[in-house]
Amino acid sequence: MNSEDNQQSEASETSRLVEEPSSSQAPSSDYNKTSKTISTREQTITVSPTSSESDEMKRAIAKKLIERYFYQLSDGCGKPNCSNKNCASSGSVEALSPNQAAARAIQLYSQEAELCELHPAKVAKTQDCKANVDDGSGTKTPQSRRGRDFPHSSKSSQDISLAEEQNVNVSSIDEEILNKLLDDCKLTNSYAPLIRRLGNCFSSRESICRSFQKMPTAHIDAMLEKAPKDLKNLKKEDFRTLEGDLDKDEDSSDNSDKPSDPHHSNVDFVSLRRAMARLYEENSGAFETLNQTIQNLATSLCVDLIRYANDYDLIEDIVTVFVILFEIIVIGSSELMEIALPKLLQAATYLPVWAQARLAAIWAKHRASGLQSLLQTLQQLISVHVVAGMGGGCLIQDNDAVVCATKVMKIVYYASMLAGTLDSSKYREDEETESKTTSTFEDESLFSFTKTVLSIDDPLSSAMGINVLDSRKPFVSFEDFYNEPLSEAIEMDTDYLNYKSRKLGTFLSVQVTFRLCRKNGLSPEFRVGIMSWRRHSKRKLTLTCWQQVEDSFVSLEIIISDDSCAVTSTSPRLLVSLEDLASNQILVWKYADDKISIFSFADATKFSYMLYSFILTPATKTLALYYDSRIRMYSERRNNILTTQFAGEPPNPYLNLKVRRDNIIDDALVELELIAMGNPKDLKKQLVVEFIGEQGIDEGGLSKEFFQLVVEQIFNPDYGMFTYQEDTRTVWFNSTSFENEAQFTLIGIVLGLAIYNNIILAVNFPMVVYRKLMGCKGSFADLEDFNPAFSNSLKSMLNYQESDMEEVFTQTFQIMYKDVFGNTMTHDLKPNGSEIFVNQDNKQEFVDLYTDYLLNVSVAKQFKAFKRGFQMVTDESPLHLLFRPEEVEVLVCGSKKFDFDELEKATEYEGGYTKESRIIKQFWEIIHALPMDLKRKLLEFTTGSDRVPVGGLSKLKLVIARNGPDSDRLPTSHTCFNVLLLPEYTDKQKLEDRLMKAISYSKGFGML
Amino acid sequence: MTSTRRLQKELADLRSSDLKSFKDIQVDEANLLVWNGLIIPENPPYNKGAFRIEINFPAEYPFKPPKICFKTKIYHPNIDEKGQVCLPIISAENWKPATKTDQVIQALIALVNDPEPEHPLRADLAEEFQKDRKKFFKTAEDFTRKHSEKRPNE
Repeated sequence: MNSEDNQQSEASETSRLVEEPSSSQAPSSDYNKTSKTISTREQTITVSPTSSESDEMKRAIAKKLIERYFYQLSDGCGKPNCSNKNCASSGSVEALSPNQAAARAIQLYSQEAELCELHPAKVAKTQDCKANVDDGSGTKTPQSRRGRDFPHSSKSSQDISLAEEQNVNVSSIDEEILNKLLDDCKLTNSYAPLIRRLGNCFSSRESICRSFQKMPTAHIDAMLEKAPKDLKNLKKEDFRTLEGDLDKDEDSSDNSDKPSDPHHSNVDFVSLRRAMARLYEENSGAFETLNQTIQNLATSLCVDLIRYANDYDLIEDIVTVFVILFEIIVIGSSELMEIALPKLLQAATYLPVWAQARLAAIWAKHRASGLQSLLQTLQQLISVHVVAGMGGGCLIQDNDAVVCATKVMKIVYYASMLAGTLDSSKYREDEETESKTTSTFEDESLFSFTKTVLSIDDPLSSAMGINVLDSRKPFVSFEDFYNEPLSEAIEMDTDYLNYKSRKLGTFLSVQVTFRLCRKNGLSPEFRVGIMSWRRHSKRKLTLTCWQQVEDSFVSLEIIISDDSCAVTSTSPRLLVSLEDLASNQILVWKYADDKISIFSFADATKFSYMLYSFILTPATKTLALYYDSRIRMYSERRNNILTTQFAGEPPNPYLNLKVRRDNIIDDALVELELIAMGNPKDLKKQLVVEFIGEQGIDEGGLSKEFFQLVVEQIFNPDYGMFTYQEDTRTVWFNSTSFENEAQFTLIGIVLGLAIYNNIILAVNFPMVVYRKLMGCKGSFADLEDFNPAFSNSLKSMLNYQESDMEEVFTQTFQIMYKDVFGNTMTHDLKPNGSEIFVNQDNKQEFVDLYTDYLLNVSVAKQFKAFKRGFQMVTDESPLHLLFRPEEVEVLVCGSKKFDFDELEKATEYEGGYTKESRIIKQFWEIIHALPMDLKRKLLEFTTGSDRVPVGGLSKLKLVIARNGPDSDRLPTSHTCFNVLLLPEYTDKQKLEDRLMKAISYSKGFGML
Repeated sequence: MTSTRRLQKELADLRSSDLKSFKDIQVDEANLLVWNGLIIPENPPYNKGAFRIEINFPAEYPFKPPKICFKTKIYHPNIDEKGQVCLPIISAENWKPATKTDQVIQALIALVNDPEPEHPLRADLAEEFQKDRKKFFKTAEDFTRKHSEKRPNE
């Protein structure tokens, strides 16, 4: 205890040494005075604990003792050849990990083992230890014990540490200091010293990133939290569980948490959270100060991040600062929401991608349970700003606070996935990613405007090596990331245009911005455009650009390696590095011989929420897809007219399908096959269906009916292409189908066309189909939805632990299945499978192979063809960017909820009807009383499909229009516009009778 | 047909164990996926006859459960007119691939001997079984005499 105090005053003395010569301002000397009072105060407090707190005090005293045991175990008492066998100085203590040492310390405490006197000769011991530190034995110096250890200071470690240490000790804080200050301030009833200290600490990045560092005793802390109340009566097993538990604990720095790990962090989260929660509760006004201080700090962080974008160590420090600051934000969100948070978010957006990945990894590892509250804080901020900005004519894309919050939310999004259940990325299809990466740099023609570069992998995704597709169950559910006010307010057409302009910018329009770095700041910007470029190999390319500063061409050679991107220039004064070439998010150029620096941020182009689609609700995303397909359709139409004028052929701006109703499949397949083989681009034209011999003109309604009929027949098991799984009510590819691959390609085209033309289909695929379409492979987790009985059986097999497995299961690596005709077929999961029995050693292999067979291998040929068809239509659309497989299913099949009350609320009336009209009231009475299948028929009759659109029935925009006075005619409908034409029948009975007749005989299109 | 090893083994085990309540097991060696056999209940009102059942194994056995169907008409709350029976041990949710057909048959025999009116397939019979046990027994016995097969070796 005494030694602690000594050090405290030592610290303040050294700090005075530094501060006085450099800046002799009043606050710093004030601060020194207060820190002295702290030391004395603290003693008084420990001496006389109040009775109400006595339990806590007892525990605190116990903790102090345990800490002493801990140091004794790890550092020793300092007495040469100490006789205590539990003292490191005796030489008989084996090397212990911090966890083991902490557990052992608690054990020693409970046994009331011998405790060495603190040796007065501390200085000598410190030096010993310093030597130890250098050979990396893990023993820490007293300084490090007090959390003044700076793990990322390698850049300055060569300096003789004096100046630096003093500098650091100035204002970093930890829980202990904060508690002392708080206690102290409470007694004097003045929070000024506390606020000053906090202000000091939080105004400099150096001091924050050295605050709340993990001390070795953090292990004791974490352990004590788990330990039973009565520390004196612990049993042997308790220690073992303590030690073991902690290894699994998210906040513990277990053995796997090494500095090289992406999730390594030296921040002591437990203590930080505790300290900040206390600070917040005390209501000391400290958070008002923090508000201001953090805001200022964030501004300087922005500058630092821009200027030192390539200084790894510095950014590593800044990551730590963000980790701590966001912790504080979550605790005091209500206070900090308006001022500090937006600025901090803005600063965070300047983090290079690798640092964002670091932040996500640290969050995922150490504060997963707090992700939800961080997300809520962000959502709240976004909602507030969206609502406040409404009507002001300001686009959400230009609202800085919202944009920055969205960008930070992306980090949370990835942290949530990382903390949740992830599939191994091996289930992503390799060929897919391969083709994507190569396409980015394929050849120069890619950068002509006719062909667009497609790959828009999120840079954070590639930096972290995880993909939305891998996520089975994120820590925070995907739905929680939707922001309703934003999705409502956003103007998707504008957003789509922003997205498009960004996409075209993949190089040609990239502007490189030059700035001269002068002593007194940055010069105005100079912009250069890239004039041409050449690719030498996959990893090397040259850019030529006009450089105004020197009024000359400059060639830049860019070499991409695994973790960075190096740029050299013909002009020796230019350019050192370039980041994230592929994504073009940020081009950061470091300056050479302090003359020039160049950076260009994606911010220069307009922000598009489509790249942050997690925040948008599916209904809004559907809109984006709608704009995309419409714009493509129009551009195809325009191109077509242009080309045909020269070719002299009649223009055909539509994708025309002429089919006979009684031969719909064959006709459709023949026509589509011709187009798919001849000119697949035509698939992107607007679809126009004509039923031969009928008078309907397709403005959407006939297409809908066409899809409905095609799907109905093709997925009929009698047709032989798909099988129906009775138990799950889903369809699956018939692995023994006689149909050739072209047939399956055509089904894929139909599915793609349905999405493209915004039509909902009545297909019931298991989810794995959509996952596979989006580029995954089927894995064991998919089996659950695919066939629960199968999944349970295989799980139960995996869980079977007895050694008589071969005997009980008598299962070999040969499996059986039935073909369409009911013949039993066999398949060897591996060569000679029929002779290999499944046992405890190979059961996992069996399950993997069987799963792979069921979901991938057996239908590989069919699925590949199917997927190819699907991609013919959707390859250029932002489908992959916007939707998760679950959402694609909703896109294809509609959501499965039939809420007719919702439909009634959203229905509009025309031709003299209102919602108060007698017949309308009767109409809804009849509808609500109908059984589900008739309700579906009514939907089919009025809208051409019995599926619910994405977003629910209210999105149908049903219109009921008066169709003359009472008559004997049946109700009719315009399925293209979802209009129901209803004559004003005289009574309810007649209405019901006519309505039922109409919906029951609704197939076919004609005038009555 | 090596992957029917399990079924071959189970069949051999079942035949050698010589159950009292399940006899006359007939299997076409070319198609091991369909078994036939006679259930011989001990309890009244079914102990006056024997009931033929068919066990259908799916090709994916044992990863999907077998299905059981009564070929002989039976007056029983848990077995419907088509001969379908609802046996928890072979339901998709409860099925374990380690379960032996032997255990399935035992469960079936137990169900035939002691009906479970709480989970009926035929609600009318279940109601009669609970409210008028005497009448139920009489009808079931008559029904058994009329429709069931002869009990072997008796």
